[in-house]
Amino acid sequence: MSDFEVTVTDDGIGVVRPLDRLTMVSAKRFSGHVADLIGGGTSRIVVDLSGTGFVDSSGLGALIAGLKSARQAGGDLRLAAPTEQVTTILSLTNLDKVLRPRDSVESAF
Amino acid sequence: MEPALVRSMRLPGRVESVDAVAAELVAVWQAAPDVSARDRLRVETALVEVVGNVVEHALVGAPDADLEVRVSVEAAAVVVDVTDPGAPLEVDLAGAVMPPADAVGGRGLALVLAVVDEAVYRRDGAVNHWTLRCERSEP
Repeated sequence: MSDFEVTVTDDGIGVVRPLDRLTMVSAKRFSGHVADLIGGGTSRIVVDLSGTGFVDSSGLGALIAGLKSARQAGGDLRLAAPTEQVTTILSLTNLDKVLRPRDSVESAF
Repeated sequence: MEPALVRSMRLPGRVESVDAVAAELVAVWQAAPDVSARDRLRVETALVEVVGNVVEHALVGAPDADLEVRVSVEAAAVVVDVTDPGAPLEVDLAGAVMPPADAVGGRGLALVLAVVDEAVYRRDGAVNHWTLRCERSEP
C-alpha cells in the first residue's frame, strides 16, 4: 500500500513524500495532498522522492498537474532526491527539463 | 542453450494490479538473478504501463475479469505477454509520441516504446494480447 508523508516546514514550504510507489494506484491521493496544501495557502511545494522507488505515467501526470496548480497559486512545485528509476523516467519523458530535480528537500527553494 | 524461465500470473482487473504486478516481478527476478538492474527497470516500467492501460480501458466495466501476465526470461531477451478478455482497444503504437512536457496525460504508450525493443498489441479473437520484448543487456 503506497502512502504519503505531508509536512509544512517553518519556512512555509509544503513537503510531500510519496512512500514506495507513485502510480495509477496512488496518483489521485497525491493530487489530493497537493490540492490540500495549496487550498491551505501553501503553494511552494517540494516532492521528496527519496523514498519513491517507482513512478509511472499516471504519477508523472500528477506531478505536472501539481506543478501547474502550484504556479497558478503563485508558487512552484519542485522535485528533490529522485531515485534511479524516477531519474530515468524523467529523462525519457523530457520532464527533467521542466521538473529539474534538486539534490535535497532543503536545497529545493 | 538454457531453457527460458517462465512465470505466469493472474491478476484482477482492478487498478491495484498496477502495483501488484510489480510485486510479482520481484519473485521473477529472484528466480533470474542475472537479469541486469537496467533491464528489470525497463520491463517493470513497460509492464506497469500496459497493465494500467488494460485496467483503465479494456477491463473498465468488467470488475470480475482477470488479466494474465506471462514473463519469459530467455538468454537474449525478456518477453512479456499480457492478455485480457476485455473490450477491444484502438491502440496506435506506431503513432505514439511523447507529448509536450506540460501535458498531464498521454505518456503511457510512448513510455512503453521508449523502454522496450518491441511492443505489439493485437486482438486474438475475444482477447487483447500485448507482447513486450526487451533485449537483455550485460548484467
